[in-house]
Amino acid sequence: MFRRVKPQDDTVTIYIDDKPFLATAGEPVANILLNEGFSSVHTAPNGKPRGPYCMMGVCFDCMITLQDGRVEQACQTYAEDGIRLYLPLNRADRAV
Amino acid sequence: MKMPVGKDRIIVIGGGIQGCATAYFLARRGQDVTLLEKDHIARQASGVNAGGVRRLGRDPIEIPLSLASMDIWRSLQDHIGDHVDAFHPCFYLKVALDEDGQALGVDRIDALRKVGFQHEIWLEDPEIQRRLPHLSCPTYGGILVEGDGWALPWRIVQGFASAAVRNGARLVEDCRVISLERGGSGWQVHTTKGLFEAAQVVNCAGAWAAGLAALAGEAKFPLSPYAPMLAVTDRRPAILPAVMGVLGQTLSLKQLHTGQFVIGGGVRAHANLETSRGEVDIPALAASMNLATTLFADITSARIIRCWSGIEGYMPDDLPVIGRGSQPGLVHGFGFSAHGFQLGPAVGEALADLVMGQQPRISLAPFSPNRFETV
Amino acid sequence: MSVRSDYDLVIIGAGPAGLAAAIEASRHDLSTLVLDDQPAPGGQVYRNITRNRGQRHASAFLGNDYWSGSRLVDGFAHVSANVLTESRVWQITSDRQVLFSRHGKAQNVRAGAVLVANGAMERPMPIAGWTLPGVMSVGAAQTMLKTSGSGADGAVFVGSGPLFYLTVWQYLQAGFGVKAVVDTAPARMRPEHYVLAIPALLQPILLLKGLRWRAAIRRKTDYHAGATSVVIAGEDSATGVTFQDTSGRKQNIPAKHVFIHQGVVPNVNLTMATDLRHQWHPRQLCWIPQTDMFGESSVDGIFIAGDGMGIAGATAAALSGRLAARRIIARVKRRPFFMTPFWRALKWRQAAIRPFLDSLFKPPDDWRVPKEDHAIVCRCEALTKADVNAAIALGVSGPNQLKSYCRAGMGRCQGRMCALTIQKMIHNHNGGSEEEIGYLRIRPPIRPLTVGELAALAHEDAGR
Repeated sequence: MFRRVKPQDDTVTIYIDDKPFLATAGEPVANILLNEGFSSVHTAPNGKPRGPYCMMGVCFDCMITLQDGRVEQACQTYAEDGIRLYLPLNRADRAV
Repeated sequence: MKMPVGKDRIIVIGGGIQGCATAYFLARRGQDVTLLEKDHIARQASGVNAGGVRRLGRDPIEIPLSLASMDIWRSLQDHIGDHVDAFHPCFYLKVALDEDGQALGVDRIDALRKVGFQHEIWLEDPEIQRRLPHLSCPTYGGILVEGDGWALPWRIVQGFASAAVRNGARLVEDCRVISLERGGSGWQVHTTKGLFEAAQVVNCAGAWAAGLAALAGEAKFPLSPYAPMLAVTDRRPAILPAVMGVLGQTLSLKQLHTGQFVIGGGVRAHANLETSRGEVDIPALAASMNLATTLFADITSARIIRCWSGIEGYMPDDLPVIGRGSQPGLVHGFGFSAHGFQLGPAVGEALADLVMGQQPRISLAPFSPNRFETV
Repeated sequence: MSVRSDYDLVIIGAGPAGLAAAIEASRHDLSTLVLDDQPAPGGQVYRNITRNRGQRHASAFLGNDYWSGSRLVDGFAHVSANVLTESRVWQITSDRQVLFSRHGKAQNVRAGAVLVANGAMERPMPIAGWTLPGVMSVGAAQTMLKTSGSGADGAVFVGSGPLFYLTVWQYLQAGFGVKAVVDTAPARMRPEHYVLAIPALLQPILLLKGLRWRAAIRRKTDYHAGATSVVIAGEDSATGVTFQDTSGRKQNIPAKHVFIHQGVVPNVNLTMATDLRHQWHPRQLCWIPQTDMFGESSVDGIFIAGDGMGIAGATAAALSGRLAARRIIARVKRRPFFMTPFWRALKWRQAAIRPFLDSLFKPPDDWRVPKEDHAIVCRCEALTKADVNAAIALGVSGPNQLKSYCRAGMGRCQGRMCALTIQKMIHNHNGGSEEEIGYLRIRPPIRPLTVGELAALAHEDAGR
């Protein structure tokens, strides 16, 4: 598990699979995934789970689904109050 | 000048679908055939097209050839074996989104019926909605063809190339033709990999075919290079079991077995024959993207991960050049104007017939190389 | 802030190179726009520096090199250059239009000159198990420190290189428990390293810093030098690391978090998609855009600065940004600009340590191409080394032909995680030179944009 050694200022609430979590405003949502123990977020074409790897937008393995149906990189999505993200791993329509 | 590398009776120039299919049919008939390709096979138009395997929407002049080709597509496994996994049969549907489109479609069906073609069928909107449950908009009807499909173009071409080689053909890649000369009773083909000699040459050089024809001493063909553009998205849940177009508009839309959408705009970006590169004008695809999202709202959030274009050769009448050249021992098969992929198998068979002095099944008169002769 | 439709200079990337260039250009009244994909300037090296300053004491563990970036970021805040954050550039056209997406909207600007300063990324490291959840690059671990102040206790760090040692040191400073450090650099320097260390003495502070980090790491962690044959174990997530130590013994360290690193390479997808000429850098084992001494590429008016033109670090990046800006300014003002001895000396001094670092921390062969057949080579398409080799055996001239045989390079990342690997694999099979084998053909958009975003451009046109 990842843990914070710096206090959070300016927190917002984000939702992962409809469960609320506290995030720092503007931090990449991939950070919250790791801080909260979600190391697997989607499945690869071989059926194996995958999660964040590079945290800078080049590996495309931190994929999450947003409310409007977009499949996005969690490390390129920044925490805003009320943002809802869904882990493709837990959805029926797995195609990502 | 390099030493001759072999005395080949037939040389096919161009490793796209036309050339590879021709080489295959010739080799299968026991002919001594060598295929020369300046890059690697399926590098150009045959490797980058939308992969539509369609009889729908053809110029009536081309329909017999297209129908004959579809027969070969149906038994493709007999020809190319495992590579047939790249062919996905499905229905083709070109819908009307307005009254103009509807009129176009209805008139076309009438016209086709009058000349005896039954493969295109008019569907009314309720039937279209039933076939496409995820369709997001009403239609004014559309044209259906059952049993068309789509393919991964490079793999089909690779299939023909492999089948040609299995039947004894030689394949030489990275081999660009420098000059063509009549010599003795045949042709001397000087290339970057040496001299090849042949009794007959088949020109399947795609967008470069007019240049090649000129090298052989033919009159200048009015072939223009353009670069149609395509886009592919990330993987999405399966919602589209057909290949689609829109009557009166520019769109080709399909969903691959991977779930990715392939969206074509038919838009032509500037093509550079020297460098073989076409810069992609992505905003020019906007209108086609708009149509795609009109048809399927689900596509709106799909993400485009790559756009590309390939260089294709267009004829002024949008019909290919298939037939004997004015020089002896020279046969042409080019100018497919961005719709040659499905025709490839039948064209290959027809070109093989021409080379061997046999009568092709389908009349090639409308595709005569002579139709451009100026007075 | 209203965005114009055209600028004298559009800079892509707000890291040290981009910021330095923007400051220089603004001082000379060039209309300048900086596009960066993050919420605030700083690039990767100075990531989140503006926010972290508010809690500087809590983030002291990031170290002085990080905090030295404040100067640049502050300098940038005071100039007139416009900056658009959260902007993803997906294409540069040959007539210097820059197309990008921001907050779900596709936009474009015209540029008199473009400066690509989008930096570097970590080298792909296809060792067995690298795709397991729980495995991340060391840079990713460092990014978590910078952007969240968070880290994982009990992690094993595997690899080598300046970024590797710095991050372990930062972890120790921050108080995280480091399970082990498995160093893949040679346990003993070889003669060629000593020879290359001589010019490196021109940057003694850097050398000393490196030695200091390494000494601290040796003292404070379970440190293993000269490790080989590294494999990450686990079924659906990482469970540990196995390797061979210098005495030939196989070691196993259980861990749920494994951070790996074998150096950085230029992030070339944008420059490649722009059809700029590139050349193979045989020492750094990567592709770099061909540039003149000012950073101008093979296309007029398109410049590169920073690690994107060759790995040289943050200070060198800022210098190259300034240099490129000076050249662009001179062009706009129709004045000559020559590379004075001063500039040359500065550049030379910056570069002097590189051969030493590149040589000492050269990625081991089995980190460039895995030994194990089942190791994943193409992450996006989940293709193993065996899968890719089967396709190579059919006979391919390069990665583009290979792509059509097995889909390697066709996934979301468009080759970022696999192109160097498959190039090396084809080279291993075909022989010749790696440069001849070449790189995957990269096409725009180099960042994805939605079909809806592109469709919206049609509405805009219709509205005109």
